[in-house]
Order: sequence, then structure tokens, then C-alpha cells
Amino acid sequence: MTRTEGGTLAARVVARVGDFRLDVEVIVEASEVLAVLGPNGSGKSTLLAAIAGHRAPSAGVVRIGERVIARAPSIGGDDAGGDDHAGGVDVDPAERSVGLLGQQPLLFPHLTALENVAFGPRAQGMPKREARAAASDWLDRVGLTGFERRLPSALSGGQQQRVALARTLAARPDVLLLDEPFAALDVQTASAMRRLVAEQRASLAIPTLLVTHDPLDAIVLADRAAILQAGRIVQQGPTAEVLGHPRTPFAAALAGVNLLTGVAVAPDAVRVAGASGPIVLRGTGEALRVGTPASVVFSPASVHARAAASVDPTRATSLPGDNAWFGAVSTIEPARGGVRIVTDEHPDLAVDVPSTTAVGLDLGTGARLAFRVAPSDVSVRTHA
Amino acid sequence: MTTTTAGRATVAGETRRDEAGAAARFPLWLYVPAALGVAVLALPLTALLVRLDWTQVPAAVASPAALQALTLSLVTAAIATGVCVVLGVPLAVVIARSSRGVAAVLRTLTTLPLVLPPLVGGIALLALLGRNGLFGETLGVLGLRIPFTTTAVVIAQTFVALPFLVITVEGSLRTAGTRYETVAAGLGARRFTVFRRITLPLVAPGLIAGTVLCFARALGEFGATALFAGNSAGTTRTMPLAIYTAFNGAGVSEDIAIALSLMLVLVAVAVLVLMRSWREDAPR
Repeated sequence: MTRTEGGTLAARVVARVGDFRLDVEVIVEASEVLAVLGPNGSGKSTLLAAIAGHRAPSAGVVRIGERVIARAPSIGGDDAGGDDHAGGVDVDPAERSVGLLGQQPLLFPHLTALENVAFGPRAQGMPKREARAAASDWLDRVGLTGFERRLPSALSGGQQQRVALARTLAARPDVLLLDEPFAALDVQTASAMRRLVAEQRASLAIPTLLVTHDPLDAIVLADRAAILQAGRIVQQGPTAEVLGHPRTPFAAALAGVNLLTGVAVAPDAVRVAGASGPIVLRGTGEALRVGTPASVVFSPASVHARAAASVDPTRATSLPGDNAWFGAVSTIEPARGGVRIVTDEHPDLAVDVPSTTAVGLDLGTGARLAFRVAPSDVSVRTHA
Repeated sequence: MTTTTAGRATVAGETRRDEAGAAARFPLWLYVPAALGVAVLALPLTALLVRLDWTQVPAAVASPAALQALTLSLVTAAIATGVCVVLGVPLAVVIARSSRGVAAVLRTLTTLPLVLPPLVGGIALLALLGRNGLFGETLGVLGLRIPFTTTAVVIAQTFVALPFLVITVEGSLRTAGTRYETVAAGLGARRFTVFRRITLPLVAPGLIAGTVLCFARALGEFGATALFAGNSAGTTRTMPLAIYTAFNGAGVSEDIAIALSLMLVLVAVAVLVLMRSWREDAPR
């Protein structure tokens, strides 16, 4: 196997699966992690399959540095490449140098942990002794010294996933693809695994593409994030930007934050409409131009809720001040560490209340509550 | 160490309770037809043992004719099994990894000898390789005559035994799926490396079971052999044919046939026991 020096991953992939059409372009620099966030069915797996070589794109090209690993045969000649690449390129998965770590470890059940990790180097022609030494080194790097002779069935789920990471990296890939690698692990194991992946891939400096539906993965691992919706990338940028101030309701839902749009009434305040009158929300961020469309973003957990009666009975139905509003509970759902409340007045605005607070609120459908969010927890932005 | 032992004990205990629970959940009258089923299978073999004139056994078993037939049977069945593995494993791979339509056609072709009476197989082989057969004439010109030779025995056994191997291995391949093969390819392994180091080890239990079934079927093959290879002592008279000859032979007592049958039963039991011990190892 020829070992190239690697380089930037550049993939433009168009693929059709039944009625679904994926059409995306991603560029991942060496030493960078790009997180592609999207729910099930948004096309994440199709994108990875095209890069890994399990599915030929119907149009587009995938490059690692100067090396073309996939190119759909051009039909109309509208390819922007310019060169006369009439024929397609579809490099065999074994020749691509693309490492993939998925949700399931998929360790070879008949091989020990060490043999699993040594498999890649061996398959690429490394002498047995050298391959085993390299594998042993990798097991050490993922904290599994002493587990060399274990069969996968004698390892826990988290240990198996660590062996799988070692196996993927021991094959010295030029590109690393991470396909929801923490989704099947319990919370603590996933957290340790995230840290391990972050450390190990930082030491390798290879372009890494992470697809996930969990914003936490992107926050911990990714420099940049892209939101994939129905086969298209709808927002892309630094992770803090994309997740901190999503531009679409879809992206906001993925990031787990409230996104409201309205009109700027001050450089730091936005008025958003509501069924029982507007709310004025002050926050931090861009200086707004009064009278122009603007958006506000804040976390459901940063909102404080109290019983409306406890505020001031005489003012309970009149307009509250900035960053505060009233609402009658319409739905209550379980949320992380408490309950999520949505009100009749603001159906697109979720409020998370910790269990300890919730028990004192006498919650029930129709209960009137007063809400308040601190300006420091609100991000304001001009709305394009 | 103590923890591990305790853990295993718990697992074993749970398994036993599950089995007992399952036993209590089916209609109890099923025991009646089940017992009849056991009787249908076991009574004839028991009768074989009861009817046996044990004083005759040593002479019958040690007779040159019996030993010759047994040797011929074991050698031809072993060769046929070898041929089945060499041809059958690739065929199983092709079927398991083909598109649905192609696989269905190939699977039907493979299964056909399994459901055909072996006599029909013998006729079919004669039609192909017999003196006036499709290929037989050409082979005759080249000085090759296959029918009524030991080669014919091996071909007949291969014909009837191959489906057992193919179907067993194909089932294992489809159960194993292609996920591990995909992972191996992603790690840079070429197709042959994947086949040798991943695919074959994963289907090893199925391959062993299929090989054993295949061998047992080849050993017991009678119909196709009788028609295509004939019944001449030393070259084509395998154990089943020797039993048939002894049974029908003028003046020879039935007891020889029974004694020879007993030998075949013992070989079959030995094969099954061997397979069991392998299979218990296999899942590791």
C-alpha cells in the first residue's frame, strides 16, 4: 500500500437513496475536526459511506490532499474541475487510507485485542513482530495495557470501543471518520472516550470528520461544525458560532437551544411576538440596528420559573419588564435533570426546570408561571 | 478469580432456570408425538443391536471383504469431502454475496441433488459421463472411462454430499454478514487477506459442521453409486453396497449385513461425537 503524506480532505458528494438526495461539500484541513450535525435520515451515513468507499457518489469528487479517491463519471460535463476526467475513479476501500470508527466497535470476535489492533499494520505488509509491537504501543495509548490477550467478548463495551479506536489509528489512516462513536456508550464511558479521541487525534494531525446528532460531541471535539438538514448543509462555521447562535429553528433544535426572531428595539434588545403580547429580550452579542430583524438565542435551562401568583398578584396579568414573561403551561416533558415546560403563549420557547424547583411549582396543564432569563445568558444577533 | 467463578455460576444457573421455564410453557401432550418420534428413530437401531448374533460379529467385521469395503468407503468419502470443501466453500461465498435473484437460482441448483432420489443422480451422472453420455464419448476417445471405477464412486458421493456443505456454509456466511469484512477492508486488507483472516475464521463452526455432514452423507451414499459405479469388490463396493450384497447374497446370512451395518453406525456415531466436541469449542 502506498503511503502518501495525506493532506486536506475535500469531498463534494451527491448521492441519491430512493427519493432522498444528498448534496454536500465539506473541506477538512489536516489537524482539524469538522463535526457534521444532523438527525437520523439527514444523510450523515451516506456522506461517510461515500468517503470510506462503501458507496459510489452519483456526482462529485473526494480528495485527500492531491489524491483523488472517488470521482463520479461526469455525464453532462458540468464538472467544475476543468480536467478531462470523463471516467470515474473509485479507489478500493482497502487502498483509501480512510479510518472509520463507528457506533459499534465491531472487533473481530475471533482475534484478541492485540491481534485486532495489529490487523491493519499486518494487512498493509508490516512484519509480524513489528506489527505486534505497534499494536501493543497503541493499546498502551488507549489505556489497555494488560488486556492484549483478551478476546473482545471478555471486554466491556467501553474497552471494546477503545480497542476499536486503537485499531483504527494503528492502520495509520490519512483521514479519520467518526460515525457517532459515543452513541452506544453510557454517559461516563462516553465522556472518557471523547477525551481519549480528542487526545489521540490531536497527536496525529489528520483531517477528522465527525458525524453526530449530539451537540456535546461537537463541543468537545470539533473546531468547526456544519448542520446537515435533509441532505444539505444549512449552516457551517466555528463550533461556538454554529451551536452558540444557530440560525434556523432546525439548528436550534439540534443544539438544544431556543431561537426566537423579532425586531431590534435597542442595540442589545429584541422584541419578539407572543400570543399575549410581545417579550423584550436583552442580551449580549452583536450591536443591533434598531428596527431591523434580529434573533435571540438562549438555553432552556437558563430560564428561571416561578409561580405567577408569587410575583405580584396585582401585576400578574399585566406586562412584565424586560427578559420576563408569563405563560400558562401547555405541555410538560421529561428533560435532563428535570422537566421541560412549553406554554400556550410561546409554543416555540422551551423552559427547563430542575426537578427540585419543579416539585415546588404545582405544575399542571394550565398552571400560570412567571419566567425570567438573565441578559448575560441571552445571545442577540442581526437576522439575515 | 473468585469473582469470575461466581459470575460463571450465576450465568449457568440462569441458563438452567430458563430451560426449565421453557419446558413448562409448551402443551404437555406434545410429549406423546415426541416420544413416538424418538421411537421411530431409535427402535430400528435398537432392533439392530438386539437381532445381532454377537458370536458372528468378530468374524464378519474382521473378514477381508468387510475391511476392504470399510477402507474403500473411508478413502472415497474422505476424497469426496475434500473435493466438496474445495468447490463448496467458494460456491457458498458466491451464493451468500450475490444479488437476491442470482443467489436464488444458484441455491435452487445446489439444493436439487438434496431432494432428488440418489438413483436419479446416478442416472444423470451416467447420462453425462457414461459410455454414450454427453461427455462420456469424448472421454472414451481420450481413453478415459469413468463409470464403474473408484473415480465414479467419488463423483457420485461428491454429487450427493456437496449440497450439505454448501448450504451449511452459506447459512454461516449470511449470519456472519459483511460488517467485519467491511471493517477489515477499511484497515487496508486486500480481498484475499479478508477472506483468509476474517471470513473463513468467522464461518469455521459452520464449515466444520458442513464438512462432517458432507462426510457422513458421502459415507452412506448408495443409490447413485450403485448405478454409476456399480458393485465390484475392491474398486466400487463401499460399505452400503457391501451390506446390500451381504443381505441379498445367496447363502450368506443376514447377520453379516447386520454386523456391517453396526460398523457403519459406529463410524457415524464417532463422527457426530467428534463434531460435538468441535462445535463446543467453536464459538470461542
